This record gives sequence, structure tokens and C-alpha cells, in this order.
Amino acid sequence: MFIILLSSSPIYCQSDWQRWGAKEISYELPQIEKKNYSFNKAGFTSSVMSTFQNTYYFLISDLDGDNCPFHPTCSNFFAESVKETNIFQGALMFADRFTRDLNLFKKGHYPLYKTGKFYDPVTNYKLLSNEIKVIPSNQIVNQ
Amino acid sequence: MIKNILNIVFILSAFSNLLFAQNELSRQRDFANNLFEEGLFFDAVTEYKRLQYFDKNKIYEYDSNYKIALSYKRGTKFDEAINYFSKAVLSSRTDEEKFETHVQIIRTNILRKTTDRAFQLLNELDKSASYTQKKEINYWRGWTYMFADKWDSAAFYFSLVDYDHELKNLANDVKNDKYSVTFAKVISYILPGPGQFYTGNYLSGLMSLGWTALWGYLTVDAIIDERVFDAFAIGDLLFLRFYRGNIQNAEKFAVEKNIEIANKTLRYLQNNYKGIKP
Amino acid sequence: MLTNKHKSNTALPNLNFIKSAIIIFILLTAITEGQTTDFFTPQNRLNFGNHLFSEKDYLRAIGEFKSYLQTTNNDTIKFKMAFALSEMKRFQEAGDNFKGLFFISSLSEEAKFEFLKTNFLDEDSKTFRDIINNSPFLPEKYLQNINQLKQISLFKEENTLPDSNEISNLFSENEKIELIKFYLRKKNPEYKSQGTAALLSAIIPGLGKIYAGEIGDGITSFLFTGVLSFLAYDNFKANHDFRAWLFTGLAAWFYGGNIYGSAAAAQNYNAGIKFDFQNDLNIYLNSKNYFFPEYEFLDK
Repeated sequence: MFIILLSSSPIYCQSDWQRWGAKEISYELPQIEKKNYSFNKAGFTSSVMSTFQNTYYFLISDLDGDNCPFHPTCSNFFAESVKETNIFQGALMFADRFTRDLNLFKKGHYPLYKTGKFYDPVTNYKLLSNEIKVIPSNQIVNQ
Repeated sequence: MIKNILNIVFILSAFSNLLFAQNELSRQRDFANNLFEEGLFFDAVTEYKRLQYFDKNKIYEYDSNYKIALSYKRGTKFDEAINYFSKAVLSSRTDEEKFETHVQIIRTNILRKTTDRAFQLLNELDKSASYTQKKEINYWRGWTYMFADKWDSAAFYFSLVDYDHELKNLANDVKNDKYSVTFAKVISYILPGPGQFYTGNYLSGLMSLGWTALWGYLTVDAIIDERVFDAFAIGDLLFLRFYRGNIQNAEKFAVEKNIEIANKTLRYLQNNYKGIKP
Repeated sequence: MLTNKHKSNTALPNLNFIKSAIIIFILLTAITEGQTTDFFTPQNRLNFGNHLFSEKDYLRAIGEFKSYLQTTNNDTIKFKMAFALSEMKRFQEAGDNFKGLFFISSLSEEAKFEFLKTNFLDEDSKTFRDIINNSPFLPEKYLQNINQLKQISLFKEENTLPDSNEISNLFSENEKIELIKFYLRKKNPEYKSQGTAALLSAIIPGLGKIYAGEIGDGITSFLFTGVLSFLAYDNFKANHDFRAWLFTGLAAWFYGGNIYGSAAAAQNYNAGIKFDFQNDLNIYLNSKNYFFPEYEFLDK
């Protein structure tokens, strides 16, 4: 084992390809991600949508628990898809997402997000092939 | 006469040349140590590596490996640090040096948050440790348990180091302040709402109670009216959903509050604790 | 007095001999030690720099080489410095340093090749090919490697295809077989058509998804739209108008969604084919180190 350690020193040199200085890491435990109640003031429709979205989160989403196995949750997916395309396309995308959610055998088809959910971003379904990002299903997405 | 003087001069200069070679290495070591003290860790590593390269007899092998590892540790490059600490172990000359280097590997593992590995190494080190060394091992066991969020075990091991150790009292305080996640979950199963009241989330508890009451009433109503499909739909899609959500929330709030309690103490340890830290 | 002098003269030769022997021995060892005592002489910095280079500690090696080059001009060391920059992916600087070795240097052919290599690695294939086509600086010694890289860049870029004849000429037998396989994969990627997927799903919900490779999703789609349609029909029969229209609306919505989703699934399938091709190609090329030449003088 020590031989393996000693011979692997060239691999570690990669971290020294840039000058580094003293740093401190935090002792703290990682926090659970909190939902952001962001309010979009950039125009009338966005404000209205944000209000609806926040109301939905406050009254319903926060209380009915973690039901979606996907990372952008179905309600988030709907909101984002409407934001990025239009209401009609967004509605179709949501219907498709809902159907995919019903599929009991979806394991192995989607990469995992760091929280353990399936990662299924809106950009893959906008019918714009240059925005599709293929991620192998055994990888974990961290951002 | 002149010949004798010349002889003496030759001998003296020859000896001083030999000594000079020896002094150059220790001068290089001092130079590298100065850079380390100044906090210029990248350059310190360069100079220690230079020392190693020219030290054909490996007089300074342990010291240079140890110091390079410490420099990497200060730069939070923990993988490299552990690599060099392992090299230092191999080149250690006394048992004291070997033990201290093993402890440094454990401390680096703690900082790297690879606590399982730290526990493994602590157990291995414990097997061949003397009485005073065991005390140090228990001290670091306590730290590993703190980083692994297991405060009762941490308190236990600190108490083995010293009955009234400051860190033992700190760990006990955290253990006592924490909420019981199991308790929150159990009362949520019995009645929606109180699980969230327990952690101080009153609004969320009230809303959970309200929703489950509403859907529960409608489900029972549908059953009484023998509207089976409706009862099934409301019962599963609405009542059960909010009931499960209430249990999840109770657990989530308790866990969140516990993490914040632990982090408060961990912040104190990082910024204000005066004892030996990893 | 004469006898005293004679006596001291006979005793002295032995002592003198021993003393001289010791002095010569110590002087010899002192001289050899003295050569290595100052660690910061240019030669020592060079030796240390070479050691760091062999350990891939490139940034530190460059520092040592720089200080050596302040006193001595050495093409091999300049080349090593540029090579180290290239390994650290600092391609612009590496290219500039290699340019400095194009003329009046024993390594000008190697420098020209490495300069072109940095352009290749900097991921802009078209620029790389333009530079090759317009460059007066092509290294004769490495023309085969350059042409190999040209074909590889045609593999890696999206809408270009390499020349199959060139592949036969430039690569060895085994390599040729593997590369022709990649060539055929790139030429005929076996994409699925979005239009076909959408049409199939319009006829039978879920069929388009199965066509696009998503069998589970296709079956779910079929069942779900079927259930909604059945519920709509059932409620119409039972004269529950509001619910019937509600379920009809839902069925229509999800029917539209299924058509849309089938087209998206076909697109994702095609993206997956492209991704797998690039991935497999990269793995193969990395295993061959891109057919780059290896230089013996770098290991010294």
C-alpha cells in the first residue's frame, strides 16, 4: 500500500500547478438547502407569476412534503418551463413531465442530483437540440 | 617552517570544506523553516523539496517530509498532506516521531471530514499505544466524534481524558440542547401538528393540522355517502399527502434545528477554543 | 649539528609522506563536496529543475529553469519550459515560448510540432486546420503526426468527416481498424426522426416514445391517456357532464403532452448518440495519447 502511495505522488502535483496560500476550512456541518421565495419584479407577468408561485409554496408545497422524485420538482419544472418558453409549450412540457413521473421504472434513466433525486432539467425538453446536456445515468450532478 | 605552516593551512581548509557541505544543508533547512514560519507555504514546500533533492544521505528526510505535509495541511490540500505524512512515517527515526506523524494523519482526516477513516486509524494506533499516548488518542477520538455529529460519544471520550474536560462539558451541552428527531416523528404520526410545535414551527404546525383536518373530514364524508371513488381519490391524493408531509416536516425541522445547534458549537471551537485543534 | 640535521632528515620523510597523503585525500573529498555545496548555482538549479520536471511539478520546475536561463542559453531547457506550460494547459504561453525556438535551434522541428499541438489542444479545431494549411512552419520530421492530428480534429468537430483514404495511409493496421469503425459511426449515426416520433404518438399514444427508445415512458403514456379517456367516456355515459368534460380536457392535454414528449425524447436519443460517440472517441484517443511523439531528451 505504501508503494502505491509513494508512486502516486506525480498525480498529486497537479494541485501545485497554481500557487496556493494558507486557507482555513469551516468546521461546520453542511446545511440543508432551503427553498428560496424569490420575488421577480421584472415586469407585470413575472410579478404575478412569482406571487402565485410563492403562495403555492407557502400554502401547499411546504406542507405536503417531498413527493417528487425529480430534482427540479414538478411545480418548479412547470414554472421554469413557462418562464423559458411560453405558457402553451410549458403546459405540454409539464404534461410530459407528469407522465414520466408516473413511470415506475425510471431508475437508471436519469443521473442523480446531490440530494439523491433524479436530475431532469428543463433545458433538455425545449426542443432545442443545442441546449440538451447529456449526463450519464451513473453520474452525480452537484450544482 | 614555511612548509609546516602551509601543511596546517591545507589541513584546516580541507576540514572546513567538509564542514561547509554539512552546514549548507542545515542552512537550507533553516531557510525553508523560515519560509514556513512566515506563512509562505508554497515556497516552503519548494525549499524543502530542494533540501530533499540535495540531501543524498537522507539526514533530513523525516523533517522535510513532515514539514512539507504540514505546509499542505495549512493550505487545506489534505490529500497531499496525508501522502507526505505517510512518507514521513516511513522515514521516522523514533517511536515518538512515528506516533506524532500518525496523529497528524488522523487530524488531517478529521479536517477533511473523512471521519470513518479517522476512526479506523485511531483504532489501529490504539493497539500499540502507551498509557499517555492513549490519552491523546482519546482526545482525538472525541474530536472525530464531534465532527461526525455524535456528541454523546464525544463527551464520553473527553471524559476519559479528563473528568471535567472543557470539551466534555461542551459536547454534553450540545447533546442536551438537541431535539429528539424520533420524538418529533412519533407525535406527528399520532396527531398532525404537534411535531412541528415541538421545534417551534407553530405556523407550519397549524397549517398541517388544518389541511389534514379538512381532507380527513371530506374523506370520511365521502365514505359515509358511499362515494367510494371520491373517498379513495381525496383520501390518497390529498389527506395522505398532507399527513405524510406533516411527518416529513416534523423530522426536517428537528434535523435542521439540530444541525444549527451543532454548528454553533463547531463555530465556537473553530474561532474561540484555545486548546489543540485538528 | 650536522648529525642532528641528519637524524631529523631521516625521520621526516615518513611523517611527511603520511601528512601529504591525508591532505591530498581530504582535499579531494573537499573539492568534490565543494562542487555541490551552494544549492543555488545555475547548474544546481538546473538539476533540481529537471528533477521537479520528471515529477510533473511543472510550476516549480519552470521557476528553476527561468533562473538557470538567466545565465545560460540552452534550447533543451527552453523547450522543457514550454512543454511544462503546455502540460499545465497554459496553451497561449506555451505557444509563445515554442515560437521562440523555431529558428536557429537544434529542436526547431520539435518546437514547430509542439506549437501546432498547443493549437490542437486549445480545442479550436477549425483554427488548427487553418494554421496547418497556411503555415510556412510545418516540421518535416513530424509531418505524419500533423496529418494524423488533422484527421483527428475532423473526427472531433461536429459537422465534419475525416478522409477515409488518409486514415488508411497514416495509421498502423490496428489503429486503422478502430478509426474506420469510428468513421462509420460518425458517417451513419442512426438518428431517430422527431417527426416520426410525433406522428407515431399521434396515432397511438406512447408509440413515439417507444420508437425513441423510452419503452417504460411509452407504456405509461399509453396507459395514462387511456385511463383518462376511459374516465371521460364513462362519465359521459353516466351523464356526469362536468366531470366528463374535465376528464376530456385532461385527456386532450396529456395526449398533446405525449406527442410533444415523443419529439423531445427523439431529440434526447440523438444527443445521447452524439455524446457516446465523443466519449468513446476520447477514451480511445487518450489511450493512444493522441499519437503524439515522445521525446527522449525530456526524460533526462
